[in-house]
Amino acid sequence: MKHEIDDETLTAYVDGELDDASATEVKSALLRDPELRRHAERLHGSAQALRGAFDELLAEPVPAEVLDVLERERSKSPVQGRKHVVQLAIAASFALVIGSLSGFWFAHTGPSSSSVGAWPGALEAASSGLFDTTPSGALVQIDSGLELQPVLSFRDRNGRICRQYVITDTRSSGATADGVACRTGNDRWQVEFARLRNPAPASSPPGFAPASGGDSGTFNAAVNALVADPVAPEQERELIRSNWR
Amino acid sequence: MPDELTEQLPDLLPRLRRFAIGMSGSRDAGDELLQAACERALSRQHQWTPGTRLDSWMYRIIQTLWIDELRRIGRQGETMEAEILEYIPAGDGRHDAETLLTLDEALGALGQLPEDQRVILLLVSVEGYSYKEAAAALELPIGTVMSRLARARLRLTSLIDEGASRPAQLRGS
Repeated sequence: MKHEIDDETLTAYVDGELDDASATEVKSALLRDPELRRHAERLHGSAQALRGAFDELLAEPVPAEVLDVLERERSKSPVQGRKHVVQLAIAASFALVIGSLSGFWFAHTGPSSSSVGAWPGALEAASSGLFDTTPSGALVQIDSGLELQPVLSFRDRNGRICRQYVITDTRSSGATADGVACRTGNDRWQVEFARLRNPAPASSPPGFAPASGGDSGTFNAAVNALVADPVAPEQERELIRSNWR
Repeated sequence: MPDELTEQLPDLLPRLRRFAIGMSGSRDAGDELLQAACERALSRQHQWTPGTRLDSWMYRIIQTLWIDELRRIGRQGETMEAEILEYIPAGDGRHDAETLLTLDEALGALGQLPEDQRVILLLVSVEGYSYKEAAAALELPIGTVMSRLARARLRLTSLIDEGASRPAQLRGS
């Protein structure tokens, strides 16, 4: 379809790449031409949609094989160890998620009517078995619509084994919960803290207040504060074999 | 100073992985690509100039490796169409109000673009590069970036529209 503004110019306009004079020209054309307006909106919307679709990847753990490449390099220089690489990669992952999604919700434990709010409960029900057997990076089904993915195993400052995890609700909009569960003295996993992330912040899920200022970084900070010593993949395999003893 | 590279690289990994998956069309291929790119970057760290953008340098390595891979398997210049014919976004009308794409749909759509358009679309519309930054990273004239990006965005938009107008019962899921 032919418009008085060509597609290159219009794309540059919706991307905010035109100088003031050209932008003014496009703006007045948009005011005159509703069809051109719709076209501009579609060009804008498709880019937004593409970006949105890719954002979920930032929340996923970087594969151990990739971290190993960096670790090998680091081990050549005596000062730095694996822990550093792993922590940086995880911190980066969260920092980017925080930067790219606009809405975060904290899981205040307690009764909630929303299905999202019921997650920590679903987790507790499932965790007894799944946290024992699922290696970091693997995805397992908790029930019909929930998937669990352990992200990292680590020891905390008290020597407890903990696992950072992500739970995704595959039924609805793909909302996710991040959390850390630690192994208690009686061989059970207990959720230390969790955060719910809702990709559609426009409508607040019932039972959850919008996160107050600055707390999107709180989860990240909490994890970092807890991690004393990350467990390497081969050690984790050993722990799974020995039932985490 | 090579240390600067190994210091900065971990922070970039999630974004580099996103880009590699976008280029290659799947998590598995993207993870392999990212691993190969990290290996190449570390073996050639002396070629990176400290103070310049490490992310751009890495994107370029990922792109080069991917083109090598396409060449190796004899699909140079082709799109991924043969593999990803299943691009069918949900035809439930949700595209009308606010366009939402799943990752699979997005990868499917990208797979139908030529590689030289895909890389620019990923840099600008996913990684948030300005046209100028994309032109510098890819060593292309800015006019080329603009025309390729415009073609890519038109195609993406029409793919989304096709998906939205497709009757739901044909989706087969």
